[in-house]
Amino acid sequence: MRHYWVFALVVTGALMVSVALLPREQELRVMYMKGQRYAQARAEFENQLARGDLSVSIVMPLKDLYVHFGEIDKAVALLERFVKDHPDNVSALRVLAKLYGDSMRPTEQIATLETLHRLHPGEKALRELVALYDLHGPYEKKIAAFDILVRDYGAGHKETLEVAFHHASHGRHKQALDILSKPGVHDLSLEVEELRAGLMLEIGDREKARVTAVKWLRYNYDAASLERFLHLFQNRGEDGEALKILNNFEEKITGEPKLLLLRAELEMEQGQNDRAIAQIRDLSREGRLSGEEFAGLLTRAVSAQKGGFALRLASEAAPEKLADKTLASIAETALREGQPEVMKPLLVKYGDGALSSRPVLAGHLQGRLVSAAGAGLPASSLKNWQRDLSTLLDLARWHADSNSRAASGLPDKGAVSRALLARLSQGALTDAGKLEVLTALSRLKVKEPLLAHLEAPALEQGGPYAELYEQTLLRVGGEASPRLAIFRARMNSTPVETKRAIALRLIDEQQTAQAETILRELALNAPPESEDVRTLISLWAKPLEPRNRDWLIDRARQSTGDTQAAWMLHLLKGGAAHAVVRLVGDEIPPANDAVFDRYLEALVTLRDGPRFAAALEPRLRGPAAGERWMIYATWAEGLDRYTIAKQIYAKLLKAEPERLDPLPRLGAMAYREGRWSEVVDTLGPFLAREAGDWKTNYYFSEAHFYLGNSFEAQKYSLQALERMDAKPEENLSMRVARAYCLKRLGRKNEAVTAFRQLLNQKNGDAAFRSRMTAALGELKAANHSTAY
Amino acid sequence: MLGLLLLISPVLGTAATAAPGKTLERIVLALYDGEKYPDVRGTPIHRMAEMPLNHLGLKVRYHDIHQPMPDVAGMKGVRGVLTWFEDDRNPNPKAFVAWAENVMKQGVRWVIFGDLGIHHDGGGKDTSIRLLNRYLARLGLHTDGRWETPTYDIRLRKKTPGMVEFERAYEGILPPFLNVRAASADAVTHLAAEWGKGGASRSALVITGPQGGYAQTGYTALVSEKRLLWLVNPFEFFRQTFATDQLPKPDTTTLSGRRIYYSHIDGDGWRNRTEIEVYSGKLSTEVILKEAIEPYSDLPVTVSAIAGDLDPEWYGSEAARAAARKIFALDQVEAATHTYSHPFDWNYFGDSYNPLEEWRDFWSQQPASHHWRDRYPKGAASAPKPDLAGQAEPREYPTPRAYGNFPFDLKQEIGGSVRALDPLLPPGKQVELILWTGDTWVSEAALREASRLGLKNLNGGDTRLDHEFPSCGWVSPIGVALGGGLQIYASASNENNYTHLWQDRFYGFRHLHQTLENTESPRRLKPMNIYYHMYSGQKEASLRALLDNLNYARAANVAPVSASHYAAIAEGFYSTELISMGASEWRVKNRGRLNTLRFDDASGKAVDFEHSHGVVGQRHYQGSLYVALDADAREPVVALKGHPANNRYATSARPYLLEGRWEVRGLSYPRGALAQFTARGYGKGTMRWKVPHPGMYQVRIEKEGGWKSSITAKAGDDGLLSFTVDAPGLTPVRITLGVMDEVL
Repeated sequence: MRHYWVFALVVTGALMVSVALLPREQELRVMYMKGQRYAQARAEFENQLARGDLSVSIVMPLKDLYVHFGEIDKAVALLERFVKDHPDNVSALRVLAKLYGDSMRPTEQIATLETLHRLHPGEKALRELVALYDLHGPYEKKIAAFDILVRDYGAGHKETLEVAFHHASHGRHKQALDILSKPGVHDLSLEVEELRAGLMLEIGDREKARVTAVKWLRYNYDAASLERFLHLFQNRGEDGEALKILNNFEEKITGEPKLLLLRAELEMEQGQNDRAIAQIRDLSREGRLSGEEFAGLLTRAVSAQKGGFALRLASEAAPEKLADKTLASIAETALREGQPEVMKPLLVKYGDGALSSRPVLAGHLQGRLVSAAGAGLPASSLKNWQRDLSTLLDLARWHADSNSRAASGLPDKGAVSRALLARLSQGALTDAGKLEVLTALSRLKVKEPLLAHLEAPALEQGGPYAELYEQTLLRVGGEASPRLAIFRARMNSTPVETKRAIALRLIDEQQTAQAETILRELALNAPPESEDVRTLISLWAKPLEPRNRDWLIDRARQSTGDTQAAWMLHLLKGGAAHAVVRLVGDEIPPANDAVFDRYLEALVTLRDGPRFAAALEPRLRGPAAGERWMIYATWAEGLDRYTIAKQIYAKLLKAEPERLDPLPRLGAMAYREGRWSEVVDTLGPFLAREAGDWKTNYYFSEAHFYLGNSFEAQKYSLQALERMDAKPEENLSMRVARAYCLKRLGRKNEAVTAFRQLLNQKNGDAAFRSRMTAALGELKAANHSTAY
Repeated sequence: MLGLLLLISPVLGTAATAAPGKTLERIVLALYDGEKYPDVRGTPIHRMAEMPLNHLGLKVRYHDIHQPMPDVAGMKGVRGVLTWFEDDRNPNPKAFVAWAENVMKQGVRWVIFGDLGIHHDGGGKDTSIRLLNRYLARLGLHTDGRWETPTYDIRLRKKTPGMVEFERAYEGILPPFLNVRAASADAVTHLAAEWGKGGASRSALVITGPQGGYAQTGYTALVSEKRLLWLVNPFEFFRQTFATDQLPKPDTTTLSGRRIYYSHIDGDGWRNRTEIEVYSGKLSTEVILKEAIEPYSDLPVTVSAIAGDLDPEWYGSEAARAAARKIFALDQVEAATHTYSHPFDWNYFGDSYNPLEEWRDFWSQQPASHHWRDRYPKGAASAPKPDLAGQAEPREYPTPRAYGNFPFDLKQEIGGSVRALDPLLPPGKQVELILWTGDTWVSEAALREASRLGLKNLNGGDTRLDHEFPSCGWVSPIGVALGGGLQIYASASNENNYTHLWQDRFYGFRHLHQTLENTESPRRLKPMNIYYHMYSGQKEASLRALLDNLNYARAANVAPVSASHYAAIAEGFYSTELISMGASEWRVKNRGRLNTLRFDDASGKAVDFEHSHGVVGQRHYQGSLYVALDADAREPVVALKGHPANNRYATSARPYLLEGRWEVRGLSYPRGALAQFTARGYGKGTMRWKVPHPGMYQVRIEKEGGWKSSITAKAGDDGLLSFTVDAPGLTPVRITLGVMDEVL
């Protein structure tokens, strides 16, 4: 007995030791990992996960294993689950962000990094975000991130400059300047200092601006850079400061005619005419002033209303003949300045070519000259007046002026208007010339013809064209004019309701193109089911033009869930099924039901059976119920995916045993495959409760026929015939079925007639003829008391 | 004929068409700065503009502005000139402008992208404004020579939708620009800058006109080593400036109405041991064979090997050679070479290559260097001393090629590698092409050598279009013409680029889907291409990614071809000549194996089969019309007619192919049958035809040797007849379509 107890103790002890030596689960998993038995390790970790263990010691190794196997979606889903439970876990968020990046899901990656930055603000996450915003947008977020980098972390040169530029472009000049003074801006290039000087001018600190420019130029002088600074000041009306800058580099510019000329221009602006004239005279004498440059300066002087300077310049310095256009400008300036006598010596010096083609101008000038001797101005000659634009414009101005009627021998207002319109139609005018002509016509109070020329530029370019157009419309139709309303509808300042009303009115008036333009703007941010969107889409041809399709695609991309599905429906109706498929992208099948439906519908339209099957397959593993699944089944049938259709019908019947509508479809499929018993088993219960259509009755009848059930075959042949008779029209399929039904019923004569008619109809179809002839032969040969 | 012309001319609108008998110009002469870019492959034109030009049916010929400009009279076939200069110097602006004027006088279009490139001469002297305006005059433009800067108060106006802000809005710091305005009413401004009080000052930034166009620097695209983004829509811009609407586009993406599919494997990693548990101890190659090749007999694949991996004198083992024999024995596998020693840096082996230097710098310490000692008994000491000052930049690769057993010899690399692979091929099979290695910037000499040996060539390009490379600037052109040779680019990137050069993210290749989809829609820019290395069989994750891609291809509606077939189609793009026969009729010559012509914006057009010859089918897809040509027709004629756009499938008295997996040729309409043709391809021969009437049809299939089969198929009310030829298609099958009855 004692031996027995000892033995039992030893065995028990040995068992206890061996159990203690068995690896526990955690140790097991580690062993598998270390032994590179990854599949087993994964299974172990997944088991633990299935038990609800979402600890770091499970999640992270399992994530690594998924990555090892390339199952990145599972790794992402796992981390998402973990983060959902631990939303503040910064490390996990970092891992998730990286996973999103590696799976090329930038939207989620950005969202995660933004969360990370909110929880744990830091430069690293911010810089990652900046890189992503740079690639994927939006720009506003990128610049906001730059702003934070500049403010809190000391950003680099490029970022700082971009932030400064952004503020400057939004009119926040002081802020932009503050940014430029940050340490990050270490490369004091021309661009940076130019920007700084420009901003200083914006805030009115012209002296500092000048000092900035001069300081930079002292260390980095070259002619092109100086010229750039001078233009900067000149463009902002700071000619005086520009001159002061120049004066710092007087010695350096002596060999630069371009800069010397610029100085002369600046001096002219500052009223330092003597110095300017002297400079130009010197340049001209030294041969360093081209005729083009001289004329350019003269023109600028005239444009800047520096008439006195222009006249003096033209009188005192000129290396060669002036262009006719320039000479004419000088003549007009002379009249304006009340110094017509200046023109006489100029005309002698440069010739009167320009004025001989501007007889109206010449007439004015002549009238004001003290003496006309030597000038020979042909004031009354208007030969070829239609062809010369300057003369036309002169005449138009003449007529627009109230005193013009006093002149005799000039073409009348109507002729001048017609000539101007002809010039527009020829289309050989420059932009500036076109605007001059349109303005002249407007001043002449021309109406309809002017509108035709103004409409396009008014809408495309706005500005003076829009003003002229609106004025003309007012003149034509008054304030209540529909055309005026349409035009205003397309202007930004008009309220939305008014635009909508105008758009609808345009549709009524068959002006759909214009209505569309307005509706596009209204529909831009509207939901897909909104009236604006529906109205807009109703105007579009099907299939959709690329621009209309792209418009819908953009709307769809910017939305999610049911809203996105609604946009997709519009695309589908517009024949853009492929776009719908692309929108779904990688998320196959889509999680949202409505999107899923649209996706399937798109695949059906594209007749993409394989993808349809692949999309539906995961859902087929679950239950199927409801109308949605009937639709899926119908689609599957349409794509010849009968196996899938049958699966769905079977599931529907299992879920809803009382349901009848799958039965005729299953019966039809069985009929096509020649499975007669199945036809009977499927359609029988259906026809026991429902009358069925002619096809269902016919299939049922035929199936009974092939199974030898003649009584049932006859009964349902008769029912099929009755259903056919109730139909208003008969297609070929029905007529063939009718012929066979008559044959089954033993109504020989009628059957023969039916088959003969069919033979006559499809005369050229040899095989069909053969079949019909065989049926006829059977009818003639058989004992028709049994009808077969 | 006149009536026909009058009938069909409205189809194409009122745009001018070429005179009958005229060969349509398809060349764009690209001017580039050869001092900045010694190799045209580095130019922005090649990197970015050439692909959209190819898509529009245009091929690019490069000319260095530092060489004498081409003779104007001899610019035959040149449709237009494109410049994309990045700085403002020209050796001789005056001569350049005079030449440009002469060229434009011939009616050649002129497109300026970026800088005018003539603001200064070679010595830095300013070009006069007058000369600048002479240059711009024919484009209907004028400048006052001033650059507008700074630009913070500039507002961008008049943005033509669809022409600008294509992949990115104009945001951030606006670049300075030259003050340019339209001087002709025909010039259309698509993007303008406005500044000053009330927007009084304006300048055109992107502008097109009847003779060409100009898009200013900084407003065209964002181009840097690692970042490419189009600001202008290059498809639309070049369509307008080179007036390509009337030009049929030889298309390299489509065959038999379906997107082309091909796959090729570079032999790198042939001898790697796999880490995949179930294949422990095996080579990566064996994993690829078992998992990615054998089960996919319906998908062709071109497999290349590095001869050095198989040659016992180098690194070849019996296991490696056995794997090669097994792979090349499979019907769906085409044989290719991946050179002998796998050069990485092709430029290293150019004219200045010195074998002794290579030995000295890279191989003298290697075990296999004994081979070199045989040739260079004095050893590395006789090599010239390294120029340390000239080696400031680190090399991209640690060695210029993978294996350095022997001095580099181009003939050995190409012809030698073919000879090394031949014994491993089954009878009747031969090496068909060379897949370039490393940086793929091969020399003209290498292209010539490959051509001399009758080999097609492929690789380079590295196309990607996905979330990490979100610009079609990363989609490569079809290839590049270098000297007299053509390098054909692969149509997609390999897994190397998705895995950080095979460092991590080994599943990255699964993202190939995005590029495949984005190069399919909204425009089909590329065929579907699965391009990878043997080392994809090394890791679990990479293998899964590869299989994911193969399954994707298998489920897609594609026309699979071998890589050499694709290369031949691509070559056909360059050789094709289009002869105008009338307003809507063209003869196609010298097209090689290219068998699709594409017409864009063609929903209202269809093939006029009565007046066409050598056309097997047509398909409307994404607004374009893809016309399938008969491979047996030497010079097909394609005539088009109007077609109601709401009618999805154009009607015709004869049947035509809509789309099919196999290549269809020799289409005829014999008595007693509706149509007869030969077809060949991979996998099951699924095809869809448009037949004149609905009803039941019989499809008779015959193969050489007497094998026959027959199936029936039904055409619905839409006249679409779909059927699948379930017979091996690698040898041609003869198919006859006939009508039969069946109503229900």
